[in-house]
Amino acid sequence: MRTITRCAVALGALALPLVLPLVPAAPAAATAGGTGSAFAVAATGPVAIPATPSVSSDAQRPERDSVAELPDNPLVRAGALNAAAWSGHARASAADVVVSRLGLEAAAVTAKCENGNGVSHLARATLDGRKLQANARPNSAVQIDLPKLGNASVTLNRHVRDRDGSLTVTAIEIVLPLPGGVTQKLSIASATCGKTAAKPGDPGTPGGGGEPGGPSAGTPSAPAATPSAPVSAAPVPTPVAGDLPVTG
Amino acid sequence: MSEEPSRVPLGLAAGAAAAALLLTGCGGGGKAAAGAAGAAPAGDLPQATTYTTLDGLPRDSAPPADGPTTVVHPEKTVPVSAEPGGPALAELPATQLKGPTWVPVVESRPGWRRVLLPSRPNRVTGWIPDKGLRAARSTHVIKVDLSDREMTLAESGRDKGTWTVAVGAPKTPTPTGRTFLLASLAPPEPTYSPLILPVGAHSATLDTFGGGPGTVAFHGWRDASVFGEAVTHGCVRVPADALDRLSRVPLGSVVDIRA
Repeated sequence: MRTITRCAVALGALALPLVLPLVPAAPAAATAGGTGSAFAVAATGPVAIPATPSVSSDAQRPERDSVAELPDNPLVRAGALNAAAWSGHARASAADVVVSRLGLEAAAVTAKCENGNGVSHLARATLDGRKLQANARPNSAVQIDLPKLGNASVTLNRHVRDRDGSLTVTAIEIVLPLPGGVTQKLSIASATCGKTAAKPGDPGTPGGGGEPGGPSAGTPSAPAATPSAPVSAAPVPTPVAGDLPVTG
Repeated sequence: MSEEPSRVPLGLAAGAAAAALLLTGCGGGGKAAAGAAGAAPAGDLPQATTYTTLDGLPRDSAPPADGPTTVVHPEKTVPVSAEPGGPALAELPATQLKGPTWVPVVESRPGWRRVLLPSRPNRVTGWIPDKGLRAARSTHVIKVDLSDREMTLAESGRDKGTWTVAVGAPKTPTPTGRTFLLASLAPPEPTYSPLILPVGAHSATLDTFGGGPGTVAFHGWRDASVFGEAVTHGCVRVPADALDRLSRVPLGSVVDIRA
């Protein structure tokens, strides 16, 4: 039998609006907030799901992408996947989410990030038959004991502040350690946005400061030098069956 | 996006060995031609893959750093230019060797990223538009010291392990410079290594090798006596535990090879 314990770990006090429209509002009020990025569903580990859909933009108008239904996979089902991002803003949503191995179901899962503040929302969400809060406090953790698999960690309304001040809010993040030291991770509705413009150059890149940094002639006009902030840790690669004659 | 979700091939079987899960593959062999399946029509532009040579693009000259690297994955084929906003001289497909393309960013301008490319000549780079890129961060750097014949895996600037390895022989040296982890391949019938980890660099002395384009790679070796020797055709042969650690390094991570 699964045992569920709940604890709330507040990592920072944030004033959180509770209303979360699915459709991005008009971007007229957007400020120079760096790059926004969002994705609806992503997974790393034995079941690897590229961020779907995924957008990243520092423009003043939203960039959007939608996918009607997540491709078949053994981990998660979801439909109506949306992601939108623009300068300092990001939103992501998924509907009819089912993670059967954890007994997780939600009619809608959304995340929103605006100028360094974020909020997520769950609609008719249950975990192993228990109702989940629609507006969980940031970084609310739920542990689930899965027979034969171990302890899964489910974090609701996960907030992570990057060193550059940008915030990533992920509505649901699931971490499942597997035998052999492998970890399955699943993120549902994740939005990242910055509060201030990024520093010139790209501190996250090798040699980023060692080359000319100013825009060159012919570069499309942009509101500021705002290289995109990485949204997450790069995924652990999944080997693909194949061969290449290399210089052994 | 359309081709990416098809890479959801693996099962999450309760109690199954994770390693077995990881090695369940997508099928297909090694002849992953330029302009892999799912990419946009190539037109007349060369594809930036390990099989091609790209002309007119800038070379990487900056010294590598130990810090985090921004790595990007194009959701679909993107044009490659010699400068931001310049004419496209090549295309970077969304896949490399049937896996996702991840390349490291070496310079950024508003709306543009300069990335290392997997083609010849070594250290070739190009500018790609920022739009449609998935960005992530790798904290790993793989350092190879050809003189000491050692490989060190660093994470967040800290060395996590050093191994004695086999490097290129004097007549077929391992090329130096900054390159990146290109792919993770599990040969269906492994002969000398369960995993082949090609990088973006190529042998400077062998135009082809074994029917391939002379791509340098990390891989294991059956005979441990080679470690510490300069005996390969350019590849870096590593012990099994080192290969296991390398298998968990994200694609696009920087590989720093020094003489």
